[in-house]
Amino acid sequence: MEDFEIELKKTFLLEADQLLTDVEQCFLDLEKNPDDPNMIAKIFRLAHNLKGSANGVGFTDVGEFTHHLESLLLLIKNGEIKINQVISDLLLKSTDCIAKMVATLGKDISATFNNRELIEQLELAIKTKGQPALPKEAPKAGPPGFELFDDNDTFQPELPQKPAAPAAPTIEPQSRPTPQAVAGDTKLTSPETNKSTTTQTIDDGIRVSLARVETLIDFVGEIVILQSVLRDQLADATNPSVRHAVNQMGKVTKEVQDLSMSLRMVPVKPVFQKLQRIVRDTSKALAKDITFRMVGAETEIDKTVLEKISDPLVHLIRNSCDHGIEPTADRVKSGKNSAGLVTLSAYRQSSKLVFEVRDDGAGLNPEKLKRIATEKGLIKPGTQMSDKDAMNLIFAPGFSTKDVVTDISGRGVGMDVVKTNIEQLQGQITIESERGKGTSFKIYLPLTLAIIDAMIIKSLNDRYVMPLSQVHETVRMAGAQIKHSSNLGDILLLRGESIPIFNINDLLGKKSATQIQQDAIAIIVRTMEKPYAVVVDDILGRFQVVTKQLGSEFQGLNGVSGCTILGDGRPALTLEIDELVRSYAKAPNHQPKTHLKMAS
Amino acid sequence: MTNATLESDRRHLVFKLAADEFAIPLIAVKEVIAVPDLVQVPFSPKFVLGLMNVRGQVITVIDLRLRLSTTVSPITAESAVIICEANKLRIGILVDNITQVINPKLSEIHATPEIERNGRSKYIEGIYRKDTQIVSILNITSTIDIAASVKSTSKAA
Repeated sequence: MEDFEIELKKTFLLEADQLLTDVEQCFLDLEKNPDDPNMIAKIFRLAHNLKGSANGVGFTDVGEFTHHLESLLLLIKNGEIKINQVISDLLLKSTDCIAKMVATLGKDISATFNNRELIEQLELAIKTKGQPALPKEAPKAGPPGFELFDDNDTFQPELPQKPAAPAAPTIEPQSRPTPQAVAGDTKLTSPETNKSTTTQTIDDGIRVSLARVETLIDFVGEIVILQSVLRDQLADATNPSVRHAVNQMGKVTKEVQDLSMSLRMVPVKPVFQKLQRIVRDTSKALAKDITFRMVGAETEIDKTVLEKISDPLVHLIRNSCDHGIEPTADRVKSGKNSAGLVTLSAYRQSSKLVFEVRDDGAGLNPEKLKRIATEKGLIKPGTQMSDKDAMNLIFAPGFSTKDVVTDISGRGVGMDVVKTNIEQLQGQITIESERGKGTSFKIYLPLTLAIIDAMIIKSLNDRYVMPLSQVHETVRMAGAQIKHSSNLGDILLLRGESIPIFNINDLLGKKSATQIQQDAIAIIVRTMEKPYAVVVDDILGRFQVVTKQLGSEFQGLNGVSGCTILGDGRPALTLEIDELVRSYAKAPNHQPKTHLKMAS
Repeated sequence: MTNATLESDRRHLVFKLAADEFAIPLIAVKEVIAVPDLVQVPFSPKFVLGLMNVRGQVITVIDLRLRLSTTVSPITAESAVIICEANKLRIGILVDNITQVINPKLSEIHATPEIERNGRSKYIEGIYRKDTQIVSILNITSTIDIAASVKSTSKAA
């Protein structure tokens, strides 16, 4: 295969990805509004484009398959086939099939496919115009879901606030990022964003590689530094127009910097759409009636954060559908709507982005959670704990309330991985729950990972960056109470707590004086189970720093998570203090210092 | 060594480490700068001198003299850092002196002799000989691939 052919194919795969996401969204919308002619026409156009492009770049298997899909869609467009449950399932299955082919081709560009079975189903649907005789899939062991559906079933999830469908739906106003008013408000009275807008705003964006954006940000960072040097140098200049120009330049530079940082921001919508599909599939597999509401899909977040929050969100949503929402019969008995409601919101709250997954299900039962944790040996029997602590037990490794491992969730590895993933993003997750009413998970994330709040500390003559997330408090060593212990080293007594002390110079492998300087400061770290103190030679202040990754040559480096460029243009390393302490404590020649004295 | 289809372009930058001359393909040379202030990296191999800021990019500088186990002489005004790029890796190498650019003919390049000299021969892929001049031609890709050394030093620390 020629180089340019490979390029063409790769371009197709990239665009196909986007196209398939759009198509899937359309099918989901179509399921709810089967007679929407605009939607059907749009899908047909997308499929037609897909077929043409696939054939054009030489992906004949994809082209052939899409051709059959297109034939089916044509009949739907002409009104000869009505969308029903079976057709809907078939359409979504076809999209999945194409998506899988695209993914495989991404890894092996010359892969071939055999889609005979699905093509036959499509041909059958075309021939019989979607009527009953379609062969059913052998039901999977376990979920009773499939038996409940007739082929003529017009099963539609209830939309509690479905507006009277006008012929041409207007753009829903709430697709703008919902402001603080949403926080804490559980019952949204505005119409939901479930129905995606058919009169979509034309996308006039362009794809830009993240690497290019990062290079831009690097250069802009340099401009900021140079500009501040210029400004300092010209502070005494008497020429007014020079000073004016430099000041103006400073303002423009700031704008450019903010703008370049914002290039990394993308709307959360694609992830939300993926979750919509998951709710649909999960609720069908569990035979539950679940409505999914999305709020704030246009909210923007850093692209790398979005990629990493996707899996945790999937897990939380699956959890809500599986554990949160009760079986329909139970809901009816307790007087609730037969349809469960799962709401996914994204909104800004001060400097954080909040994702909220809320269900109106059975809520968490602290007693049951305590019982299970005791059974699994995670806590001692009879341990007293508040309801809030009991709820946080679900984040413990190995915890799971389902007795049988279903395909959906329940393997007990989920929630603790979710929590770890969120913490790696410098975020937090909280739970609120009320028995009988429902549960709400809130994930708090920083708006971007590229800028962090940090302290610049000094170790001898070198400066290092310590993320504020690792700093709990700082304590002046002068006047502090220090106990000396022969086997544990030095201990700081703080409000009745005994906290071991480490010297930053030891942690960094440097030779240091055994005496602590009078103006030394200890940083108390509480990120691990037990707190500890790190004595540094000085703290230069609190700054917002632009984080940069170290080169790939430093992949295996311990204790350092990245670097940044300080205001004077020199690089400084960002420390991972937990790692440094852990390796220091493990070192075979580690001798606790027993003669730490205050220099008088 | 670049398997150049054109006879003409096999240009290499020649520099000195102590008394020995070495060369790297010119195509791998991005920039040559004077030795800057460097920020040290804890628990890194001895030949990793530190990090520097070059127009917004943070670049690692290694001491090629230590990496190739030649004698280390003090840094002078002649010393320089060559910023090399190979295999998507960008690293600066500290050398004592930059001498010239050569464009050897194939006939002037010989295979590395079998003699192991301080284990550095794994980085040398050929010897250029002209009159009395002997230049060891380095495989720049393996020379700047320091990830494995970094990992093992970090683990041992």
